[in-house]
Amino acid sequence: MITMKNIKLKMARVEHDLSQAELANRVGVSRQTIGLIELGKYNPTLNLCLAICHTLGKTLDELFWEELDNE
Amino acid sequence: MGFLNSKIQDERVLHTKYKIYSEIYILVIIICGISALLKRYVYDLTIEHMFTEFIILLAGAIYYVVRSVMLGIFSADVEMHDQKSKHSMRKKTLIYSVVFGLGIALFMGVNSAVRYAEGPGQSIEYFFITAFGSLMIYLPFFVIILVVGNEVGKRMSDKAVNKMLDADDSGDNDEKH
Repeated sequence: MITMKNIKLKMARVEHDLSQAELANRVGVSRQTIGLIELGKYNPTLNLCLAICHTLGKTLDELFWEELDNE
Repeated sequence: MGFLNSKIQDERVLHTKYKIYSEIYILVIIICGISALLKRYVYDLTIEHMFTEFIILLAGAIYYVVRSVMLGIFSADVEMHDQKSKHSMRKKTLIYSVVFGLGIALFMGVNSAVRYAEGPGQSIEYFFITAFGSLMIYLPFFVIILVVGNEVGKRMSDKAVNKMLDADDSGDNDEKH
């Protein structure tokens, strides 16, 4: 499985001065889920992506868009 | 786009399959329950004849607990529960174990008083003796099984999650900076 760390999510979280647990609490998921998304070990559903984006005031593009390597 | 398509699985189909699998598990539990009841009340068989059903139900439950601990879901469940509920899972488990222990002790006491005692005086005596004896056995049993089991499961699950989160990271998972 290809794992790519989500640095953008981590940066946005830090911008808001939130720990993983605090972000998880605001979104309504567990700390582990946020941690695994940041590590690229869990693919969130679109609904969860949207919930994270709304909580951090970012767009889907800003947090989750990835350019294809082979383009 | 062929490259992209080869990596993508149809999530809808996958999730629907998982939903069907979980429904199958519920179906198996229902069939086991019906089978056990039929054996007991229709065919009048003894408890030894329900061994297979018992194993199926127990194995399923044990498998779920072990896997959820190993995969860290147990910790996440506790965390999510504690986020939303006024009372922590730890507190609730303790209350449940005491309620179970008291419930069984009361049931045993009433059962003993109704079935074996002669006269009201003996009924009260049998009730208190049996209820107290049962309480001494079942209360510690449930406290150990549920509270200690829950605590051990939580710690093991936390360990599994931390291992997953630390595996290839610099160790700053829960830091703000």
